[in-house]
Amino acid sequence: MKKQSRLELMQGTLDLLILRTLLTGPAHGHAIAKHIQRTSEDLLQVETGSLYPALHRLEARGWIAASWETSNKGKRAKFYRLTATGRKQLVNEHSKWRSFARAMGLVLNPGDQEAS
Amino acid sequence: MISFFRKLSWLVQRRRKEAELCEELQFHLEEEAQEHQDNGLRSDEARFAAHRELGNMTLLQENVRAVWIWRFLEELIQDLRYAWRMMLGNKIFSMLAVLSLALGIGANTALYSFMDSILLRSLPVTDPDSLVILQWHSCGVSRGCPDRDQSV
Repeated sequence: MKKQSRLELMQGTLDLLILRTLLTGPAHGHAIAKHIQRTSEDLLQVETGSLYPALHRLEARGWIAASWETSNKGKRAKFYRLTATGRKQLVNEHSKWRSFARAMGLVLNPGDQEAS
Repeated sequence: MISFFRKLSWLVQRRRKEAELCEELQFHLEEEAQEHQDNGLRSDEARFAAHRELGNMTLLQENVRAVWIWRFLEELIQDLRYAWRMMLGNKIFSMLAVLSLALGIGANTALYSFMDSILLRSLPVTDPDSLVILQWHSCGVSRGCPDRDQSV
């Protein structure tokens, strides 16, 4: 197994990643984890131990809704999908994350800004 | 607030929720094992690897359960404290609210106990059925109405 340096997920970012993943359509827990891992080029590893509590937390808040459906392999699985509130929340969190990333960039690389 | 009611309903159907969580995690394990198997592991090795990656199953279940119940209680306490703070911050309003509630409840109780004793219970006399109500009407045509008398 390749020992690539994996990034620890920062507090609160998992919710945003889950919401963004569900924007493409309903998915079950395992698919969500794999999607995040694949899309981040294996840099982000979603721990199962934090994924499921996060899913249930988001469901409790009403940002995502769950229903039991049969997966493409014919097995019963709990599929999560984004609700209207969740969609709004995603837009909200996304813009918050963007300004946070920009602010971090400004402080960490002050030279870049002065040069441009 | 919606979250509150959802958790309340979850609290009621807790047993079903737990069975569902078990099934959900079981499905996750199967998927993970299948993936390992596709990558060339033997089926028992794949299952073992899936379990290893999932970590402590009981701990995970506990953490999910904590989301259902403990957060629910915590938020309930938070809501109550928030309500208390808001009431303290707006003393006049809360006093008026308490006062109107007290008056409303008091007046209702008084009225209903009065009605109860008057209409529903028979009067404490020897023969309640023989009681009659007397009504007196005085016709004030010749004497005029009382207002006019006062205005003079």
